[in-house]
Amino acid sequence: MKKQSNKDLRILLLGLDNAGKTTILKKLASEDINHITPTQGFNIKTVQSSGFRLNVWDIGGQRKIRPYWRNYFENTDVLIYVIDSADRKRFDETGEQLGDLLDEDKLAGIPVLVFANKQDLLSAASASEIAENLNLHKIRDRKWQIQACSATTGEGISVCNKINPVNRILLMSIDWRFTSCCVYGGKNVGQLIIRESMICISEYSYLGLDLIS
Amino acid sequence: MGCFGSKYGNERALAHEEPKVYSWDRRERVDPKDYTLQNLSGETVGRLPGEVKGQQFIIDNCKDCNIYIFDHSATITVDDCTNCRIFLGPIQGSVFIRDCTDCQIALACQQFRTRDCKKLDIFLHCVTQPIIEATTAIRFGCFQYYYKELKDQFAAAKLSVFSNNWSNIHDFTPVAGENNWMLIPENPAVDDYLPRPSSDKFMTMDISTTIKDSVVPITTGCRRKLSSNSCLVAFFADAIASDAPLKYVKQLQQETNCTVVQTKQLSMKPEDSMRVFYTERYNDEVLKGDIIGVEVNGDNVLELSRQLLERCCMGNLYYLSDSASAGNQDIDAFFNFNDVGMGGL
Ligand SMILES: Nc1nc2c(ncn2[C@@H]2O[C@H](COP(=O)(O)OP(=O)(O)OP(=O)(O)O)[C@@H](O)[C@H]2O)c(=O)[nH]1
Ligand SMILES: [Mg+2]
Repeated sequence: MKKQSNKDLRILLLGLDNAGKTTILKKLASEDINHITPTQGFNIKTVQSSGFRLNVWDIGGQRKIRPYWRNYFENTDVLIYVIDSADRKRFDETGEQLGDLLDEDKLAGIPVLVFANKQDLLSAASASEIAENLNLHKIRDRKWQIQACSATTGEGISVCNKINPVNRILLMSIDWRFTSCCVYGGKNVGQLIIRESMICISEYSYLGLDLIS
Repeated sequence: MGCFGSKYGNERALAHEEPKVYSWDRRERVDPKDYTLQNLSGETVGRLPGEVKGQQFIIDNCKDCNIYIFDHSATITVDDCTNCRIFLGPIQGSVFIRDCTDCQIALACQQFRTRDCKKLDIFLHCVTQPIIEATTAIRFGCFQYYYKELKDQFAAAKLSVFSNNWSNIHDFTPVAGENNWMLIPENPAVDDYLPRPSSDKFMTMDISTTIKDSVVPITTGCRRKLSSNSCLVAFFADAIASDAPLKYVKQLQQETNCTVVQTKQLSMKPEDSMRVFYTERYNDEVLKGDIIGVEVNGDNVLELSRQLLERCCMGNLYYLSDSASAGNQDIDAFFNFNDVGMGGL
């Protein structure tokens, strides 16, 4: 497949301004989170997770610059969409933005992980409430997950336990590559399936999971 | 509930995951109504120290009100307010002001954001670069306020009173040939913008709005400099522990014609220190704790600073630019040394 290495994944971090994208990125990279400026362009960081190199692209979410998001869609393996769970006034706005993303051709079929961030705040809606609000259960054309988290406490995003949300979405992504390979493999599909299955198995075992049990 | 999602996929692989209990599942439930001011008209309302205690706060749809939040909070949204005077104590995260018109606000925060606002006057303390979007006729001045509990509230919100970018505004929606934002005229009488609370609830509050008493040192930011002479003063851990930076700034402001342009608190590694100060002299100091840098300006600023620093630092180590000509280079090195690289769109 087009990737340089099977251990390299491109992750796109999107969401409204003030959702907590950059804070999540810095927390994943174990950096200081108390001096983060609203993003005027984008940040990119490479984070290691269970033997994978995650190249995470964090794009500013200000209304004025959302039209530029599309410049970053190409070759995305996983979309992470961040929501400020305590900003109820903007649930409609964030739902519309997510809906638009899911309609994008270049993101078709790409697994999406929704972070219901800022759970530490008193008015935060729960992950299930947000899933309902955003009609996530209607999504049929891709794998999706919603994960409650707090970037400030690190809960829900931490990369130290084995099946953290990032690894979970990695699993989904690998699985998706496997599936799309079966579907789009063309005439060498037999061989491809075998090769990709081998990769999948080795990658699953990287995550400390037993696929063939 | 933590995590759930689409039903197909890696069920088997994930099946042996233990259910996780997060801190928000365990925490004591509070009533959001106690942390919300909504649909008010013509009232003087708010919270006293100890009534918010670092929680989130919501201000929504108020008209002709005077609102005082004299406590620290996690984050605050101010939506759809018209003709209000608002004080917000130290906010650990962001403040987001949306769809507001004709308000005078004093606040301190980590991130400042506005959208779809007009005619706001903001007395601001902001640790990071403040941003505005679709906002016109907004004016900024330096946060200038005192009450007894305020200093500790800054600490509780993890904000340094020295890390202030109040005049370094980024406008996401500039309009050619127009200024969406301006400065509040110099030396403002804060009380004229934001009157002290008159209602009984706040009778016990002992408030001052003078430059002398302000918990945040008043800086001139991007206002025009009076002199071509500037220099950098830096304080290290021991001097900071004895409160030297604040003493120096206040004495400089009260006893001389010099001005304080900007201040910043940060941490440095020895290699950063070498790069900024061109010497190994401070390498041990920077390992002990944060550094506070102050840019000062005035015709005689070097000589006057030297005298004041001897008095304020009482033998503790400090840095002062060698000459007025070295000043600008020092200032640039200190205030820009950790500006992280970031991509444009
Ligand atoms: N209480 C709380 N605050 C958070 C959390 N995550 C982020 N924040 C705060 O929310 C504000 C916005 O965070 P950012 O990371 O700058 O948000 P962003 O999504 O990158 O915003 P843009 O760069 O404008 O697109 C900051 O003040 C953060 O400290 C969280 O989980 N809990
Ligand atoms: Mg950001």
